[in-house]
Amino acid sequence: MEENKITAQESEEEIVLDSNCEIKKETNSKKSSGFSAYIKKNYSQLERKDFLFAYLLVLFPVAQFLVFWVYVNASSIALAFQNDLGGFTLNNFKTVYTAFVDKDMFGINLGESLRNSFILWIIGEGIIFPVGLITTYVLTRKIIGHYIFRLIYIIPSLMGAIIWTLLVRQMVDYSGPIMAICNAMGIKVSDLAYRNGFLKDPNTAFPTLVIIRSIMGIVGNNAVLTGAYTRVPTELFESAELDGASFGTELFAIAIPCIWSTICTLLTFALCSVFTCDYNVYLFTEGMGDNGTSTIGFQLFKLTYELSKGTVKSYGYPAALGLVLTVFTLPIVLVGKWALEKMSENVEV
Amino acid sequence: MKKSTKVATFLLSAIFAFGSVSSLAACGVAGGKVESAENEIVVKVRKAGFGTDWLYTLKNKFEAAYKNEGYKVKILTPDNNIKDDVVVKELALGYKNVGVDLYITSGVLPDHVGVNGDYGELVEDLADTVYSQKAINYNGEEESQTVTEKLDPEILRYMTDAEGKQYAYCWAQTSGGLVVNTVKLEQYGLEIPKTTNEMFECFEAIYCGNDKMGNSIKSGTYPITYVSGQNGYTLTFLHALLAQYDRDYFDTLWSFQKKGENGEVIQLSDAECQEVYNDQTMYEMLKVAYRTFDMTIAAPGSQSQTVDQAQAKIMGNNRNGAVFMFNGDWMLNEVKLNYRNYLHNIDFVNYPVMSAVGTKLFGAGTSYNLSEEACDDLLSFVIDCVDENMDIDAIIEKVKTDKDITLAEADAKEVARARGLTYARGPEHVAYVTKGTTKMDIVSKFLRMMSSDDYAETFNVQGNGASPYCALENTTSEYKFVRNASKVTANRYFSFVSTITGARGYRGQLNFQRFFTTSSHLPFDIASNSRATIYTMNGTKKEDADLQVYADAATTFQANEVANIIKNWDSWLQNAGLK
Amino acid sequence: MDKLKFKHTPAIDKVIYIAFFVLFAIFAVVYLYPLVWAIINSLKSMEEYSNDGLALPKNPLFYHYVQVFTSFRSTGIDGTTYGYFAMLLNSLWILVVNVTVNVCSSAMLAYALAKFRFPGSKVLYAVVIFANTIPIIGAGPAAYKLAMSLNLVNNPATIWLMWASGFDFAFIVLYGYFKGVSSSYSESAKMDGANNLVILFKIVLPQVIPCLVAIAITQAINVWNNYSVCMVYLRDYPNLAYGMYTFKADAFLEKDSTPIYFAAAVVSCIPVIVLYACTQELILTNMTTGGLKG
Repeated sequence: MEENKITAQESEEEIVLDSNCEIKKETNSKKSSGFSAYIKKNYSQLERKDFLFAYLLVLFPVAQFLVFWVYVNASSIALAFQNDLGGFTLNNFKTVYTAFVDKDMFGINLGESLRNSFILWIIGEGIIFPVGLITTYVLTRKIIGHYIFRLIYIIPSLMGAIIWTLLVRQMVDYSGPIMAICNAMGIKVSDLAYRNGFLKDPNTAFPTLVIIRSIMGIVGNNAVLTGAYTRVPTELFESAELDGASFGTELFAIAIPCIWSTICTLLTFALCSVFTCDYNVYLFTEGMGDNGTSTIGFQLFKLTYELSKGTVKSYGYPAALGLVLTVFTLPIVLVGKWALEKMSENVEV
Repeated sequence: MKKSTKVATFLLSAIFAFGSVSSLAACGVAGGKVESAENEIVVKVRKAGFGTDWLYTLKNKFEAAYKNEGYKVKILTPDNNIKDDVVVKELALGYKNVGVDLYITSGVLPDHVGVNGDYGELVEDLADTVYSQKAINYNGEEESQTVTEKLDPEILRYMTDAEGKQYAYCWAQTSGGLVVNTVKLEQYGLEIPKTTNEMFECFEAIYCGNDKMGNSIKSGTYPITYVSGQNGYTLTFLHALLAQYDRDYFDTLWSFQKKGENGEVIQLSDAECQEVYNDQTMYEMLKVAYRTFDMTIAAPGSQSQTVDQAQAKIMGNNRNGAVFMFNGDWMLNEVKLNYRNYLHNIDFVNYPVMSAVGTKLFGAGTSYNLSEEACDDLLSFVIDCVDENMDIDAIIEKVKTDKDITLAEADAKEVARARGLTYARGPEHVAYVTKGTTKMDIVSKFLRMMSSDDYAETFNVQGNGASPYCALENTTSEYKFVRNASKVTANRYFSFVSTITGARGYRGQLNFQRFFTTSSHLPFDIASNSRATIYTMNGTKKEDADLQVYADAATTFQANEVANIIKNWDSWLQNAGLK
Repeated sequence: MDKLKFKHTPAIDKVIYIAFFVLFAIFAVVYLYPLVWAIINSLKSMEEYSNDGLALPKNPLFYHYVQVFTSFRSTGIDGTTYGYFAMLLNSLWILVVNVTVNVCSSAMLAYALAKFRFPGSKVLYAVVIFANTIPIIGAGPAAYKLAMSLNLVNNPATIWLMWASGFDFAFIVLYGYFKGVSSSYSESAKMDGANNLVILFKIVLPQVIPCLVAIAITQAINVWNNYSVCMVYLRDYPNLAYGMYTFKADAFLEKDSTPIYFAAAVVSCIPVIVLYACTQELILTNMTTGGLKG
């Protein structure tokens, strides 16, 4: 039944979309004819035979999507306007406002989280990603030891966030190797950091997280980029080398343009990760997000976790927070996406 | 590559088959019922620091005493703590399905059982079957007192709900206090402090001075260490300080109620609630807190370490070790696995008494009109007497002979009360009898034997713990830690506070960590606000050092709190879990 | 691509590559050190570790690696204790089910959209891209509420349903891959009267297996290390990652618990590292995507 509903609904939209995107002439002819006539006109007999099979294939993913994405997001929006008893209220937004100008229920200022999220994201996508483009390229060109390097660089992802953050926390602790190096080299660190580690000084805590994140992203361990680079035809490089092209030329004139559409796709995905890239703040700060380390991603994870434990009871506040953030970022993301699509079209080879 | 693809495909399909089967199997797994004989009760116990030797001794004694009846006890010790959810869940499944008669838990609070399940539906009322009955000794004979008569009335209040039902049975008494590494302390020629000022003197001597070998702080011994985050050990100390100074204020703070002239309970108005921080008691406590948790003098890592890391700094010869830590009388049990060689080095005493208590009783404006130092001196002297377990008359007489001061009885009592007071976790060590047990008769006899003096001794010796029914001084333990810890609960002036929720009407799960609005973590806020104002990082005192900074910090903190609460009253209530 | 041949490379490029090599080597040390640190500390006693985390163990306690399998455990809500092997079992079934349903879901959707034209296909594609690239933030609590009402909390079925989304990045990769697979074989098979299932299993699937495996392995690594699913949704089914998260709480009940914890960390990441080492080439050459235009 679900399937039928989708089909009917989507078919209608299909007409609109097609009329917008495809040949104008069709629109007129379609208006006069019926739905089945439209189907007959636009799909060959062979294609029509496969309708059932295609719908069966998409049945489960679409149903799953409707329940766990569409319904969930819709109910999240509804929750934003509900109080705990289910009645209409705008108080959740008031709480969000208070959290921005003052503090939220965990004693954290939301503006600070927002700022941190943006900083992490901008550094991640604006600096680390381009550098990663180059390092990934060098690794793909089979620099000596590339196999081992790549294996080593993937170790953090293989170990998993829990273990890796635990170990890295030890590295930046007061008794860790970084502090030992600082002491040995006579580098002055703040009293707070000296006594309790870099994550306990409000001045160094967040920069430490940024640096850790950067180190993790800067070396070329991006599987998708590597895949794209390896698909660039070897002849291009060979002929370029014969022409005496330098490293820079090969990279910027051949490799990157060849994978431009992949880059744009990755950046498009990155656009919507701005509030989810919490980089394990929860684990690094043991759920505290203190000393100016909190991010929106951290806040939202913490809220969900506390809800599941029952320590936080209000579904409305996180829902309202999510709604506000979505509304404010949607235009930016849409513009960014549009720009990236344009760029992708212009450069595509 | 081709080969690896094949291998990977094969592996994936193999584990898929396995995975789908086991995921379905996982749905079907459920805890089975514990089978027991007709005369056998099943006891499930938390395997915590006390170990379980004592319980097996009790089982043997119980079975021996009721040999004719053929009573048996089956003990189940799950590896980990039995947590709230577990017990409530099992209780809700019902006796028929689980088959456990008695749960001996820690931290499964009466109101949790009440909130999460229907209290009376889940557990048996013990008022008639246990509390009003006489305790039974190891020979199976009744003692002269009933269980109720043997129990501290304060604990009984926690065990009793508003309707007078007593569903919970308290089985152990533990206290917070000060843990000291005496070996390190003696290197500096210092004695265990009894007042907060004495404690601060120790801090300064350790931090700024040299030990007998001429080593300064650079050799790595710091005065104090504590646990990072919202840790209870630190907070319980602060609770105790409040109650030392003014017990009534402590009760008001956590209940929003005050006592009327005739002892009747009056609810505070909203305006009064919002001003609840604005009190001298709070101010005095904060002053001590700022000075105690000054990050400069705390061992490195104190802001970022876990309990075991903090304990490691007290035990052994840790680089960056410490002399003092606020912990509890259970700590020896916790460290004995990893620090067997150092157990003789540590000692346990009750929290030092706030010097402000001395100033309040004996200082300027009182009939004694003593200077601040003299106040502390007198306070310390009286505390010595209290620790000797002397009665009030003897204390007054000793003060008269040794100090030539005539101590008023009320003042002597007040010092004794402050010294005898601790933060206790007795109300958290509770046992429950499953509703509908068919062996109530045997269980109640078992619990009555658990309330006996004989059992108290067993628990004392084998569990390093104290029974709430008979506070015994442990004189036989090889560890001075255990001997002195038992003195705290055995002292005649022993009393306690606790902020756990119970029938006494404290507010739900409220603690400093939720209570203060200025900071999500009080000790850290304190540490970062007060750092390096008195002491430098190199182990010296600043030349222009002024203790006033602690008082100022306390004033600011207090004022911020009050302002915040007034401003955000609704959301504050929400944060504190009251709305 | 050929191995880098320095003799054909201009001198300045040699310098660039040497600089990169040095940089890579330094980073390799930075990446490896935490793992080495974990191994070193896993061999110490608790006291030794507390005293100095940087020193080498005086008497390496190799039996900690045996204790991982006997002492490392976690407790579910219902009080059942899960030892190492029980958690391993949970890790495995969660991994296998999740990877299978997720990859199948994405693959079915990608195949349908890449190879068939049917009413709604373009809209569906647009919706997938929309769902992937539009930030809808903070739906976690709503999802939890839904899971509560569907009785999916603490229920293994949650893995089958909640994490079976086909609308994810795997779709994008697979869509591109299916598009790239030549249609001529399937078309001629169709002419011969083969039905769609036969075409899918006999002709199309064999061609996309490398990509499916690459995606499955990448997904498997993520799931293997995912603690938050167990933390929020499946607390009675702790996997090893969640076990690593909760183990510290019971530190007192075991001698040398923290070093054993490090040993467990080392042990639990070895299979993943081996798996990845064996399949690296496969993953890297098959995980790619083109543009997002349909």
